[in-house]
This record gives sequence, C-alpha cells and structure tokens, in this order.
Amino acid sequence: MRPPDSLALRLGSRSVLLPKRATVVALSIVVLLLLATAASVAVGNGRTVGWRAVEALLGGQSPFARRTVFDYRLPRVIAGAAAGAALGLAGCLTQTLARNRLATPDLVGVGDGATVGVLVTVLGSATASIGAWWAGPLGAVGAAVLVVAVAGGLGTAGYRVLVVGLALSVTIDAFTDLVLARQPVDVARSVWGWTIGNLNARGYPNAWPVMLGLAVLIPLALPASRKLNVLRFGDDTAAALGVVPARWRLYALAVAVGLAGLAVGVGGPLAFVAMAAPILATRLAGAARVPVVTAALTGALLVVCADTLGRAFGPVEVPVGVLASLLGGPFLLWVLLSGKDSS
Amino acid sequence: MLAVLPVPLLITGCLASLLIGGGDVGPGAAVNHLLGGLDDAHVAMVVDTLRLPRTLAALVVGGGLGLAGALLQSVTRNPLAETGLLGVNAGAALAVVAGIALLSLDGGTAQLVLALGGALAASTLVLVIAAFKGGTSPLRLVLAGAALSATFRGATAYLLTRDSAGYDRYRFWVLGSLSGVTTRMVVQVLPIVVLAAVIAAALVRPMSALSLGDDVAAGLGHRPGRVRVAAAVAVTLLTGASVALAGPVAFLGLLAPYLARAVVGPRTGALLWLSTMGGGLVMILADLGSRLIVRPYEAPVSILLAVVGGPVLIWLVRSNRTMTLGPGTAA
Amino acid sequence: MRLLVEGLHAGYGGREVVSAVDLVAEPGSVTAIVGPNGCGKSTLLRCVARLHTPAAGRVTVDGADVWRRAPRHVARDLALLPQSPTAPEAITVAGLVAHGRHPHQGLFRQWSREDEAAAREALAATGVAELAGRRVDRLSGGQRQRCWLAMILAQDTPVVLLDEPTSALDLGHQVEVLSLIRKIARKRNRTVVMVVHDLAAAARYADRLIAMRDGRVAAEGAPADVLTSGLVKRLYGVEADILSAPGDGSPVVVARPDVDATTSSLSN
Repeated sequence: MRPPDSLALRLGSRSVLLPKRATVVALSIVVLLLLATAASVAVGNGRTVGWRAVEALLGGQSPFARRTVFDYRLPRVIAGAAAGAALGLAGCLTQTLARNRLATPDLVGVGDGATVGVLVTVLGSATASIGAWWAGPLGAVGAAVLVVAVAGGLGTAGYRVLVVGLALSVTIDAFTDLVLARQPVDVARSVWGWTIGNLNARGYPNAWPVMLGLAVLIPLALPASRKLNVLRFGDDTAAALGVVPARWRLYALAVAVGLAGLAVGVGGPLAFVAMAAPILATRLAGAARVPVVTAALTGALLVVCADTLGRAFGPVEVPVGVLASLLGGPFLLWVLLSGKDSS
Repeated sequence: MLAVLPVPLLITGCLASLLIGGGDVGPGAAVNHLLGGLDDAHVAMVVDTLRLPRTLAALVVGGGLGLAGALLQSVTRNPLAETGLLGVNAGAALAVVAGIALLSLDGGTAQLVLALGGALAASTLVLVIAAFKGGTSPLRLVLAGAALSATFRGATAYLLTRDSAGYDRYRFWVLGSLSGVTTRMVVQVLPIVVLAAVIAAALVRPMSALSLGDDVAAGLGHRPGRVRVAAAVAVTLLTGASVALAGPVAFLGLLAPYLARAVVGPRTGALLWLSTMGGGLVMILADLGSRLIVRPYEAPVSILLAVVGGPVLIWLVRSNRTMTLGPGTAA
Repeated sequence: MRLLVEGLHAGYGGREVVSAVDLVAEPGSVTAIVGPNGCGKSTLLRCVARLHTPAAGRVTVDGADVWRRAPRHVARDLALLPQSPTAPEAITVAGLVAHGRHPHQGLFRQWSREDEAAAREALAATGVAELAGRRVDRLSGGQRQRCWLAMILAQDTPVVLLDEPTSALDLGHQVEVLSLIRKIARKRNRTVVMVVHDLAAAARYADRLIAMRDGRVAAEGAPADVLTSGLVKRLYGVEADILSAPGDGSPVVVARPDVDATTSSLSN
C-alpha cells in the first residue's frame, strides 16, 4: 500500500506523491509569507506605513504611496524572500547529504568566498559599497570548488572536506580581518556591514539574479531531493536501489553551493537561515522525508520576518543578519532542549 | 623520548624570541642584558617590556590553546572541535565589545577582566544548557556551543552597528596580537592556566577510558558526564585566559592537536603533552615571524598562523587516512 | 533470471580478497555462501551487487553484464539487503517498503498502480501488513528484518542478494526469516544468493552451498553432498561430526569439543 501519510495523484501513466502533512504545512507557510510581506511593506519611515501601505500594495492610495511600496519596499522584501528560500533549500540539501544537522554550505567556504569576492570588487572600485551582484556568487562557488578540489573529492563521510573548508574559512577570515583593519574606517565599516547580512537598499537589480537562479536551480534540486531521500538509508542500501551515492552527493552539493552563492550575493552571508530553516521544516513537516519545498518556504519566511523586525524598532535599522543570529541562536537551543535530538 | 624532544625546541624558541627582534637590539646586547652584564636602559626596555612579556604570553597562549584544543577534540570526539566551540571566543568578544561600546574601554586590565569574564560566563551557560534535561553528550555540547556563539556574535554585531568608533577599535582587537601585553597581565592569568593544567592532568586516565566509548568507560568506573564537564571547564579556563591576553586566536586550538596526533597517535596523555608543547612552540614562532616579516611593522599573528597552519592542516588531513578519535559518532 | 559470476578477482588496496571465483545461481533456488571470517564472502556479494569494483571478472544477470548497465536499470534486476541496514529515523513500515519501488519510479512516476500493488503484495507476503503504520525503529529485531525483506520484495527483482540476513536474530526469528527467504525463492521463482554465517542454517535452507576459504571456492554443490567433516576442518579448523536431521535428512553440523579439555584428567 502507499505510504499512509501521502496522497497519490494520477493522470494517465504519470503520478505524483503528495505528502499530506508537508503539503498542509507548505500551504500554511505560503499564507504566512503573504501576511509577512504585507507586514514588511507596512513598516517604514514616512507617511506610507501601516494600513496605508497595505492599501497601496493592493492598488489603492496615491501614486506616491504606491511608488514607495512598489519601488522601494516590495523589491527589498522579494529580494529577502528569494535569498531566504535559496538558503533554506541549500541548507536542506547540505544537511541531508552530510547527514549532519550542523552542516551548512558555509562549511565548504561559501560565505567566506563570497566575502572575498565582495571585498575585491568593493576595493577595486571607487564608489561601490555593496559590490557587484556577481561578486558574491562567483567568490562563493570559487571557494567551494577550491575546497572540494583540495580535499580530493567528497568522500563518504565528508570529513576531509569539512576540515579543509574550516582551514580555508579561517585563512580567509584572517585575511579579511587584516584587509579591513588596513582600510579607512568607513570603507571597513561598510564592507563589514555587508558581511553580517544586510538587506538595506536592496532592490530589483539584486533580486533578479537570485530569482532567476531559483527558477533554474529549484527544478534541478527536485530530482536531487528524491535521490537524497533514498541516500538517507545508508550508502549500501541506496546503491542497491540504484542511486550512486557519490554522484548524487556531489550533484546536491553543487546545487546547494549555487543557491547559497546567489543568496549571499543578495544579502550577504546569512548563515543561520541555512541551518535553521531545514531543521524547522523537518519539525513541521515530519521527519519521514527530506523537506525540500518546506525548507525553502521556511527560509523565505524567516528572512522576511527578521528583516521586518529589524526595521520595526526605531529609526535605525538593525541588519537582518544580526537579527537572524540573535533569534537563531535561541531557536537552535530550543531545538536542542525540546527535542529528541538523536546523535 | 618523544616526550622530551619538544622541551629543548621550546627553549630554543624562547631564546630566539628574546634575542631577535626589532628596536635595534641585537642578540649580543640582549644576551648581555639577560646575564646582567649590561646597563643600557634602551636594551632593558626592549628586552624586558617588549620581548619578555611577548615570549611569556606566547608560551601561555600557545600552550594553553594547544592543550585546550586537544582536550576538546578528545572529549567531543569531533575532529572539527576548535576552541571557539564552547562559545568562549564569542562570549569574550561580546564582553570586550560591550566594554568598548558602553564603557569606552581600550585595552588594559579592565579589558582583560571583561574578556575573561565573558568567556567564562558564555561557556558556563553552554555547559548548563547542554546538561539541562539530559546528559552532556558530545552532540549537545557542540549544538549548545554553536547556538550560543551565534547569539553572542549577533549581539556583538548589534552593538557594533550602533557604535562606529567601537567598530574601529574592535577590528584591531579581533585580529589577535601579542603586542601590548605586559608581564603583569601574564602573571595575572597564570593561576588560571595552572589550575586548568592541573585539571587536565587529572583527566588523562578518565579521558583515555572515555575514548573507548561511554559504556566501556562507565564499566571501568569512570563517570563520562562529569569527565566531560571537567574537561569543558579546563578548556574554558585555558581559552578564556588566551583570549584575554591576545584576543581571538582560533586556529591554534585546531592545529596543535592535529600535529600532535600525527606524531603520537591517539594516546591521550602523550597527546595532551605534545599538543601543549607544540602549541607553545608554534605560537612563539608565529609571534617571532610577525615581528620579523614586515619589519618594522608587525604582521598580525593570526594571519601567520592561518597562512602557514592552513596548508599544514590540509596536508595532514589528506595524507592521513585513519584519523579516528575513538568510537562514537562525530557531532 | 540466472546469475553468473565468472573469474572474479577483487581486493582492497594491494591485497586480493577474492580470487578466481565462479558462481552460478539458478531461478527458484537458494544459494548460500559460507566460510570463515575474512574468506571474502561478503566482498564477493558486494561485487555482485555493484557495491565494490572487481579487479577482474564478469557478473551477468540473464546474460547482461551488470557493470555495463546504468545503476538504475540494474536495480530492477538485482536487489541487495546489506548487513545491518540503516533506516532514516521516524520512517514507518509502509514508508520503508515504498522506497523499494524507487528503481521503477521517476520524477513524474512517483506512485503508479504497479507500485501500489507491489508494495501491498510485499507487505502481505512477509506478514507485516498490520505493522504498516508503525515506526520501524520501534519494532523488534525479527519484525524489522521482515520489513526489510518486504522492501526487497517490493523492489520486485528476479535476483535477490542477502548479506547475513539472520546474524542478529534469535533462533525463532532466524527460522522465520530463512523460511520466508526460501518461500520467496520457490513461490516467486527468484534467484536468491545469501551470505550466511551459520553453517547449520545454510545447510538446512539452501539448495546449493558455496564454501569459501582465503578468497577461493573450496567446495560447491548440494549441502548433503558438500558438507563433510573434512570440509568443516578445512574451513574452520574444527573437528565436527555431520549428522542427519530427523525428518528431511538434511545435514546437521555438530562441532566436537576441544580434545585437550576433555583429556586433561587423562594427562600423564
């Protein structure tokens, strides 16, 4: 009989399995995401706040209000949501292929590579403060490739990759700190501001690359998630079911790095989202399968909420990365304390 | 035999650190001064107030981090466990930044005390949380440490976004450096380090048993939970003292145990000893290097450690096929 | 389908662990590979299952070389139950069995009617249908092993490979599982090859015995023909008597106690 927790939809010879709980959860998160978007758009300086902003979002109010919402606030929310979705998905893939809840794309140097990329473009240009949109992703992918190449492949336990990634991380961190210490303080501050995760002044130019990337990579991630479901059984059983472990791990990692790199290009390294979103998604959707879609949606929701909160208190904005860490830490503790955290 | 070898190396390193350096004081003059034969105020200043404290501090920080790293990796059975794992570095940074941002501190004993206090508070919190409602398994320690570190780092970032002058001071402190250390500071943290070393020595046998698995260790009469807590306390004291003296020097706590393990394998006692000695030696050499490489300026010691240590670590990991820390799952 | 192994050589590092092994297994039969620890039997099975790359030799199922085909297609002909298999936490029995259908599925064929029928049948055949909603990690050893067998059955392959399927089970569950395995071979005309630790069990439930020692085949044939005290001595270095079981007359191996222990009172 079919897995009792899923619904089978058939059309001719094609069929799709819909896990009941995960589908309900995913739909709920979509609703929450829409609400959060409305809330996020409603927060801000000036007159277009609260209900006025929501009405503007729905097409009412003055052209000025609509412009404020559609040209300034909404792009930022969309960019944040896209980055969050990418990070949530990347984290889900990485955690599953590493069989370790602490595994994030950062472990292969994604965040640090992105920082180097951004540093190079910021320092190389006279006026930039955010860095070219492609600098982050390029640096991220470059770092990941370097780590995997130096480690000599992924191996079955991924242990070597983790150590090499850590060594690379520390080295890059040291260099970054050194460079920042040598710069004039305002340049250093703005780069540092980027490195802690920031959605300030992000608009459609930032959002498009990520959304395009998501449009390409999410369909690529879906077959990976089916194989990863099987990989959870251990390498031998998986191979016996026709899934070659090494190949699919590398594939999943490549997709994860691509996603994480794009996300970092938008908002800087928001590491906690990649770790927290999949864990939260598993809690909500059940541990029976890899929660790919739920993790992406959860990631988007987390980022939008964190960004909204950061702007809601006082005139000075709290960067979204700071909030993500401040909230993510206790969240992780809650997971630790309340759960069956099997080793 | 292997145990004795690091000692003469270390002594040589110390001597080199005292005799070589900037300030126009060559080895000859330094030797004369140390033997009491010279009456030159400039030489005295360079050797006594600049080189001597750094050498001592390098010994304490390097040895301390080496020992802490070895303890932590043994106890968590996780080859990725570096000394920042228990939240020590993050807690110290938060305390220091709070001092900079809220109290306008800038170095000195007050900062030392804050760093140490922050480190101890953070790691105590981690231990308490990990032990809450369930034993201190390696996984829980790692998760609690990661969670708290992230929270503290967020809080630190929050304080820094509000205080640009503070950021300016923070970005130099975070590099980690032994300049500005005084002999008095070293003496102040020495009791803490000694206490931690005593605890570590007492833990050698229990930890050896623990590496065979909790059940086996319990069968031999040890109490795994307590051993882990005691080890975590020692790690905290050592790392806290190091951060207080030199700022966050994260890599050494990861590198030294790997080097030691490549030489003696997983034998706990030898590992701890060699890791301590090795850590001290590496730190002294790194500090010496930082003073010599871009004379008369100083290259930050963390860069040197990372640039040299990184490839070494990678080479170690690639060439060594069986580097197990004992049975049990890595966190 | 017929499983044929020809001239297989395999090893680890520089060491050869399987040397020049030939093996034939026919549909409807149970072939047991036995031998002392380290004789290469597990490695042999892993080579057949494509988990380990052989240095030389061929493995064919119904004439087709398994190493030349895509893993997914081979998985439709060959199923393996590894030693101590691990299931993801919180998975239910039905979920576990459903995964066995993976080689027959695709991105848009996630649960066809055939999948449904195969899973249902597998659950019924192994007698775990009532446990379908329960978590695998909460079952007893015997129940768990039957669930894994159900997954293998659901995979619906002509050839079934089992690596020590009963090592961790008590006598009752051993009998249960081995009977099930034999039933699968007979009733569904499958080719079953299993690596078994227990010589006696192998003798009782297998149609053919392949005894290995030091990477080579020491003897092969029907248990009654092959199992002699001489073979036991060669394989395990132990003196044993071979008796005939009451009922079906299958060979029963009884090891003799250590000579020194019984004659100590007679020493000098």
